[in-house]
Amino acid sequence: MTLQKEPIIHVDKLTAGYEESVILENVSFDVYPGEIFIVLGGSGCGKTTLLKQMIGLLKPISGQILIAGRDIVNAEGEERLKVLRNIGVMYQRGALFGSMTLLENIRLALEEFTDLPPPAMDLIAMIKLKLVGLNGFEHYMPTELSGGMQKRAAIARAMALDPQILFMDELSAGLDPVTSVELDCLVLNLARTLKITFVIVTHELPSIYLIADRVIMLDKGAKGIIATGRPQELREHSENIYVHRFFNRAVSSRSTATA
Amino acid sequence: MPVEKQKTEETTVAIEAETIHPDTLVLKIAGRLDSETTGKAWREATGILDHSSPARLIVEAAEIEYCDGSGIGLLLELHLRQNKTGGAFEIRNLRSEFQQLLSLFNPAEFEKPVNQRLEHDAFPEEVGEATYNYLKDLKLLVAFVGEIVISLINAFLNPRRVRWKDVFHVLETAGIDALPVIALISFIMGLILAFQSAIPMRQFGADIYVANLVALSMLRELGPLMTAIVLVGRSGSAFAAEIGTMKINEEIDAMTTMGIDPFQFLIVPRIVAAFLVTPLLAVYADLIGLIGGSIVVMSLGFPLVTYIQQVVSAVTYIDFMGGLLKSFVFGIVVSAMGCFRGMQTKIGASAVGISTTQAVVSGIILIVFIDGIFSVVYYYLGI
Repeated sequence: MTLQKEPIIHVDKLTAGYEESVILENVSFDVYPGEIFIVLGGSGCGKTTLLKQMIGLLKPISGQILIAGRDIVNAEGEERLKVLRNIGVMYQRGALFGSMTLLENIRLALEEFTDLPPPAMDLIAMIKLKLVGLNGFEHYMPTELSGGMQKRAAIARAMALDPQILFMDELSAGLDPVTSVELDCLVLNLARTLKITFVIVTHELPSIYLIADRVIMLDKGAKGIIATGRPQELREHSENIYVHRFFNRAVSSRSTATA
Repeated sequence: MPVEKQKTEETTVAIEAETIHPDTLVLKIAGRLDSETTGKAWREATGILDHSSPARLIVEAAEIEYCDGSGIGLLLELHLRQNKTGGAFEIRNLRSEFQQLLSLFNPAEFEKPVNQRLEHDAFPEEVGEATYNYLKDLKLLVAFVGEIVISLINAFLNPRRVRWKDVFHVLETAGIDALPVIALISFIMGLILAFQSAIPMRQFGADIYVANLVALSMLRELGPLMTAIVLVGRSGSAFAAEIGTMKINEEIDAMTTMGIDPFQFLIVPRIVAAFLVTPLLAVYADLIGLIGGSIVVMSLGFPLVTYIQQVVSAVTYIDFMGGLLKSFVFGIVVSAMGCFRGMQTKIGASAVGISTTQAVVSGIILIVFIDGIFSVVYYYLGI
């Protein structure tokens, strides 16, 4: 893939945290259009915090985040909506609206932000469901679906407005390997056909090797990024022992001793 | 940034229609088809088709620079319309990447109209279903009462196994925290009773009997009843919401698999607490109601001591105990109903709302119903 020079997400010297505890310090990185960008790291290292900063749910202590050239940190009103239209988010547990059918879940954004005629909204919502392989489930309620189906429906909802960037929290957590691979293929497919940029938080090594163009690895102790690059490169050439262990699924002597 | 430029510069789409043959229409679409622009394009394109309904439609797509899901929707819609009228459809020169995207969708799969699942059943069917659900609910309630009785007997036999910490917590939240609102309601209740009755009674020179009226109605009826209704609204609903949320979070399942009986753990402490606190609250309500009545009676010109003497002569211990007995029962009913509805909670965000509403509604209905039974029983016992 040819990477364009201008980044679609630009994070500059981001420091973030809650109340008195700083979780990320001076983090800077860029994501380029069309890339599948993966954020890795152990529990409590700030992956979700970073994601929440990028989608504007949390305000950083300092630093700058540009989404498609627009500042999401200080954007308000119309400007903020413009930024948000460019992004779609899939939450860890789907977060589908329980009182609405799948079709209505997807239609909601179309109703709020477009001037499409109602039959067009239905058709477009059905197209999104077809894209994630849920055609025929338009009138199901979220609770009537399995976990994997809910995640796919959540992806369909995140894509309602055809955003340039899709953020995904724990893409394949809690799913069986088959469903997980299906989701990976879906992501690859969407990246290829729709040229969507993906920012994905995940731990699944097979999925990382399959889909990632580039990964960053966060660490709790370092309060920031300890590795950046292609997963294969990191597996073979990383000097950081933790990164090396992660990509080679190696167990340290310390953890075998305590296990 | 180029990405932004792209967005702002090319957010328009142009549609041109040209009839190249009596039955062939060429639709030239140019520009950017995304969720912002497709709405306008959709109306224009379908408008043109509505007018002409050609035997053959050719979409000239060479100048479509960008086409996302919404744009694909439009192309599909045009195809579907042609299928419906029996016309031919062709897309020319669509860029390969968009063609690839379009080829993922087979128009035949979208031909069926969006079928709404929310169809209304026939009236007899609805009546039947409602009756069936009602009976099912009743059966569940009977089973629930059975389980509660067993749990309460167990608790009585092994008082050490009752979670007294939880009992005291509920005593505080359902009891002590409810004191202000019960005081307010009972005081106003006593005031209104006295005030409303004072006017007609005065016409007969029977003003002082206002005290009898207030005392009897507060102690026998209104004190326990208003307390129970406040308890349903405050605590019955809270029980249903707490237990319902735990059910949704699978906490009840976790408890069961850990070998902990949810009845013993969650429901018994609540029922025991409500059983203990409701009579106390009712006595408190009686007292505050009488104080409310005294204000009116004193404003009619009687001294406080006369009011007190009148009250004491009007009510007996049996009136007081009768009211108290009722509130024991009300306490159990209110808390059990809250817990029952909580345990019945289904899945989803609205489920807890439904449970709390049901807890309050069925709580109030049961209270009024049981109050009626008490009145009849007391009447036959001559109380």
